[in-house]
Amino acid sequence: MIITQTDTETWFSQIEKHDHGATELSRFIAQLQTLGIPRKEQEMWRYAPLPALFEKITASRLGHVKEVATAEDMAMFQEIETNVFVPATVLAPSSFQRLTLFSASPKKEGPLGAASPTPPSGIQRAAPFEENHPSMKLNFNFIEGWQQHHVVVNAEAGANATLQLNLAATSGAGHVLVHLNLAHTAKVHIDIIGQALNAPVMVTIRAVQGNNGHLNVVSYVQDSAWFMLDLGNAINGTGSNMTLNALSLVRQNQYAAVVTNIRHTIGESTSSQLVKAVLYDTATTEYNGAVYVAHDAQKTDSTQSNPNLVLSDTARALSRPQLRIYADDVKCAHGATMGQLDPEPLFYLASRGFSHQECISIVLAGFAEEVLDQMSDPALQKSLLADAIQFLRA
Amino acid sequence: MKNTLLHINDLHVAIDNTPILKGLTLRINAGEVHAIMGPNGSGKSTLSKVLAGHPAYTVTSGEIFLNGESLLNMDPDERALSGIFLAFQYPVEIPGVSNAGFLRMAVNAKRKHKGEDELDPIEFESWIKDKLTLVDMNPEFLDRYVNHGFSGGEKKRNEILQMAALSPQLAILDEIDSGLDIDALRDVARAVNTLRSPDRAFLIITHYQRLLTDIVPDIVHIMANGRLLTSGDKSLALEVEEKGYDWLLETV
Ligand SMILES: Nc1ncnc2c1ncn2[C@@H]1O[C@H](COP(=O)(O)OP(=O)(O)OP(=O)(O)O)[C@@H](O)[C@H]1O
Ligand SMILES: [Mg+2]
Repeated sequence: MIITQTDTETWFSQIEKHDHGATELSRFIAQLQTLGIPRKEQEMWRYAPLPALFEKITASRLGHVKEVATAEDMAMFQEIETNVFVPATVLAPSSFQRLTLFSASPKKEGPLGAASPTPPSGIQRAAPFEENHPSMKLNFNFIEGWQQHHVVVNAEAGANATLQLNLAATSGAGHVLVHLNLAHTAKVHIDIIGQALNAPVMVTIRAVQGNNGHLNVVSYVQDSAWFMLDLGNAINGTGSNMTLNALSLVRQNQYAAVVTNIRHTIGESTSSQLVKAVLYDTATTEYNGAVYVAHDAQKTDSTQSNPNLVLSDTARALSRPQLRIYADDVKCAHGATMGQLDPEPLFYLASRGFSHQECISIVLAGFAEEVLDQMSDPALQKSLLADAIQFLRA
Repeated sequence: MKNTLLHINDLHVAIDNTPILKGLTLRINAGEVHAIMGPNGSGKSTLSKVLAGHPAYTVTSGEIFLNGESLLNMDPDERALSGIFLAFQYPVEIPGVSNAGFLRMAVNAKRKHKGEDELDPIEFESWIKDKLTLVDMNPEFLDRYVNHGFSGGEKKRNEILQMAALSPQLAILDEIDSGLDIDALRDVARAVNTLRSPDRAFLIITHYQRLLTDIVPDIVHIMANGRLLTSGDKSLALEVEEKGYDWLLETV
């Protein structure tokens, strides 16, 4: 078991360091205390990784799910839980015959969000993906307190599904836990879009992939008080592929983190991660990326790249790519860069007739576009690029 | 009386206080093709970057004129708009920036400078077609990011495509032939020969005589230790290929 996730203590110290940290901190703590997440009082929680904490809380409230979900749902749900948390076996596609999505709100308070398919209640059961256009948009606007939502996506063999998570945190904090099961040959694409996250927001994805499938995750976060994307994926089949493309644009005392734990358990599979950030002022970003290649997982091909543009002396980009490789015939590459704009592309552009300001704009827009181009929908790409450019100009 | 396009007079250039160019003088007339050969580290790329206005190099003394106008106080973009084009020895990858968009913006910057109408994406697509044919480049390369993941030879072709699109007055080709296979070399030479014209000049930096049999230069210069040692006609390139540089360095 590789634990790379930020624990509560680190989280608090990160918040504390910021300029307006004290006020923010007391607000966050208040929010956490309503959840029963203690700080130093209870030693056992002190260094517990946050995702584990959140999962515990979600699990402890699964009673609510039982109230509304059918027995069939629960059977599937439990099977997913078992497989996700102990990702040791290849899932047999026959055990997942349906392509279903449901989301559960374990706390009764708080709406799921404006564009949610059903009105707020203890559990949200969304319509299943349509057969020919299997795409699903979920809007989460966290307004008060701390809300948690559990989304389960079960992609059957041959499925091709797109899930879009739109996140906003006007004045409340939130956690979205996504459990994903990809049967053989299933393809799932997830777009995560977070803008103006004024309170802590965390997205946890726990995925299991069978043979010859694809999982693509694209994340765009702009202006986040505290954001974490925590992606765990067990690639338990051969011929499968996973990509993560993430971009965080942060300023002032904002914080954005990407934590990944990718497990190649069988071999002949690929994963590639491109995690980018642009930082201004006293912002902090963190990339904690673990790749695990099991003993017999030969012909695994894994790349991690973490380019950061640190555009102020007081901003900090932390990078910790980690490889645990127990097979000998694998290709794993990782790299991270921190710094100001590279002068060579700027000169290359200038030599083609662009003014200094134009060169900077072109390079910054390109930095964002490389990730945004991976979003599922061209119209979405365009509008997010416009947002990003506006942020980068300011 | 020939029309002097580029005039470099006793140029001294340093980087981080280390002198690299040490008194270089060169005159290129419109319509001419000049070649520069010389050992590794002699300052050939430095000269090309100084002409294009790279900010890391300091001109400590001397002058550079393009069409009688001093280049030294011009920013790189102003030099590009006045007609200088540098094909880089190592073209830079710019992820996220589409090659088509980049090329169109560059062409439009130049057109605007000349008082011509700018091209919209659809007009550009047909405008660029014969340039692509000239360098025998697959239009798919326009859909990719600038030089991103291009092979060495593809990057060089992309430089020539930009040259063809920007139709400069002075094109500086820094080792355009390195990393090219035989076919690509022939395509590049054909493109350059097609673009030769009485009001345009080329400065071709190369290590190999091979390129100069396809693009026949008017004058060949030998550069060593930050200076031009000697100049001659195309036979000088052959001589250097046979005998190396030592005999030249010894006679100076
Ligand atoms: N940024 C720099 N910092 C320090 N030294 C530099 C820098 N750029 C160039 N030089 C030095 O200047 C000298 C000339 O380099 P330049 O690249 O111009 O040579 P060149 O003639 O183009 O060589 P080649 O044939 O290998 O391309 C070399 O000794 C090089 O190490
Ligand atoms: Mg060179």
